[in-house]
Amino acid sequence: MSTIAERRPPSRGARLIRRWPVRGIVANIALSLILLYVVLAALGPYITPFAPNQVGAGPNLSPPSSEHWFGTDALGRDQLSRVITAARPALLSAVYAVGVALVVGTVIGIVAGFFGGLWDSGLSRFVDLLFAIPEYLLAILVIAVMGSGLVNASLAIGIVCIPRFARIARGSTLSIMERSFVDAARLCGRGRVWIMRRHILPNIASPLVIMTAINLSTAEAAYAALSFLGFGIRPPEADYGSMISSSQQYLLTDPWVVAFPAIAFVVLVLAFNLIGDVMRDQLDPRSRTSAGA
Amino acid sequence: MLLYLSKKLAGAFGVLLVLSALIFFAGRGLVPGNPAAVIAGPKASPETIAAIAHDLGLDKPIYQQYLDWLTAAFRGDLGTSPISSQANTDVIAQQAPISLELSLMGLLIAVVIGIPIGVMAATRAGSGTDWGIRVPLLIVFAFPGFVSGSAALYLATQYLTNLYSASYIPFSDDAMANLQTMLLPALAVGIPTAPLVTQMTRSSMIEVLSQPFIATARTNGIAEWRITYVYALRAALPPVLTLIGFIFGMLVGGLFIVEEIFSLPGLGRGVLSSISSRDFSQVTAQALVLAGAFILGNLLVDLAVPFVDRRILRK
Repeated sequence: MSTIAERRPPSRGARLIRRWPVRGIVANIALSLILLYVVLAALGPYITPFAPNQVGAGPNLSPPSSEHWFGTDALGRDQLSRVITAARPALLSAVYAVGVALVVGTVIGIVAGFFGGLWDSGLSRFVDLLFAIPEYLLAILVIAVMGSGLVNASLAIGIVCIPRFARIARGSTLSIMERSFVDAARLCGRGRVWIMRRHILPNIASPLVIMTAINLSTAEAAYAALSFLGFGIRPPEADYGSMISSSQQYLLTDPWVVAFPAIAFVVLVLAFNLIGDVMRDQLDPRSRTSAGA
Repeated sequence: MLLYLSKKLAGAFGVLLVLSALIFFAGRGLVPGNPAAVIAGPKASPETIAAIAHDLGLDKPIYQQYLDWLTAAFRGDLGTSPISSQANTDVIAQQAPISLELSLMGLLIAVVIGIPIGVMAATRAGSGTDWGIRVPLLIVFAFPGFVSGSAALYLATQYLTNLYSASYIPFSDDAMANLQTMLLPALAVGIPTAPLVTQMTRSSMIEVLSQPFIATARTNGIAEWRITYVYALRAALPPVLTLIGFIFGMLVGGLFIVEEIFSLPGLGRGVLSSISSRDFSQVTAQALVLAGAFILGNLLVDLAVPFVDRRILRK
């Protein structure tokens, strides 16, 4: 016999914990790290001990100290402030790039899968062609035409990522099209756009979410690499890639100048990577079985 | 077989043709406005600009320029840089061998590390050894090339001064000195790619090892190493080979970064410097050679797959 007290619905906190979408210690650590970067990016200007571009905030190339926790760079700028400030372009670039790829790739994939025929062969050719270009060459060519900068570099990476989303969206759309509820909607006289939006899109969301999570880390790494090559946000603005490349010459004498931005950046990429892996394991039934094989 | 060959050849040629157009117009997009005016300098008179434009064929309609460039490219003439007035093929002939050596060494390192480790992980799937192999590799994979490359350069110049020499010496001049320069960059290209090869080898091997013909081989008393490395590995190779085609793309990306870090005068660095000097003619030629090499590499992989797995031809 259960009493009324026992049947009481779980408290708000308990429900929240039960609904928490991410399971596992590693995944939660990764998620908290990403949240930390989001907070740093949002609060950046208010919490940095020094202005990130202030030249001569301390002596040049001073090692980590109580005043400058991460030391200072060759121009005496406070590294901690710069590492915090660089969180914003790092996150923004990943979000812009994946956003572009997700929207454009999904539209291409759904249209190709839904309409079939000429649409499909035309769009698939286009996607195959994008796939056939070495990724960095394509990105650098796009930047060469549009010019460098945070938005343009992110756009270039987004274009490079379009084929991945388009292929997944097309494949999933084709399998959903076989289902009877799509025919039912057609028989009810629903329009094509309505079916695509209300039936196809929600049903292919899961693989797209996985793809998004995985691509956040590759996009972030690609942006940092482009920024390392000088195609990112313009100096003196802080950015992990350009901070590493501009202080490379001091690597031998003052390793911390390179180490701190590098660590900050690698931790972010690792966190994105882990989240992507966990989401794939939890949402993709196929990978769950193969992981146990 | 012939049908398969010609299909792949035609596909590669088509892709190269479309890419050439893309690269050509991207190269033109590099220079805002009239390229002739940029070459002539800010103080040139309109007549000089017109003369330069006429010399370079820039006064023709753009599709005509593209067709001229394409037919010249088929004859092996990639144009002359209007900025350095060097023939682009000469510049590329100096840069391409370095990039080729770097990517081949990198690929070799990735395969030599990746495949045996993948096989080892597959035969012990799920065990502690499996995880002990995979986790460090995943961490290596998370490190982007420019971070691990910089770190390698730091360690080598600090502690392994005999291993690495910073000045590039052509292979034909002094093979040992050349390898001394190239080994570290090649490791920086190869090691980050090895985890991909390992993952693919592992999952492909696990699938093959569970198939009936492996059990048959076991009951026939064939030695375990022979089953693993001859029977199973051969059947597991096609996906790994396809992955190598994909890795070519990563290698091209690696060229840009690793050549920049280690100051190697290769094609990747050449593209970057052509872009910064707005040399549209040279960047078009270099990008075309890079894309062509990438497509050729993928074509070779496609042609190699049926030799490993004859079933492909029957489909």
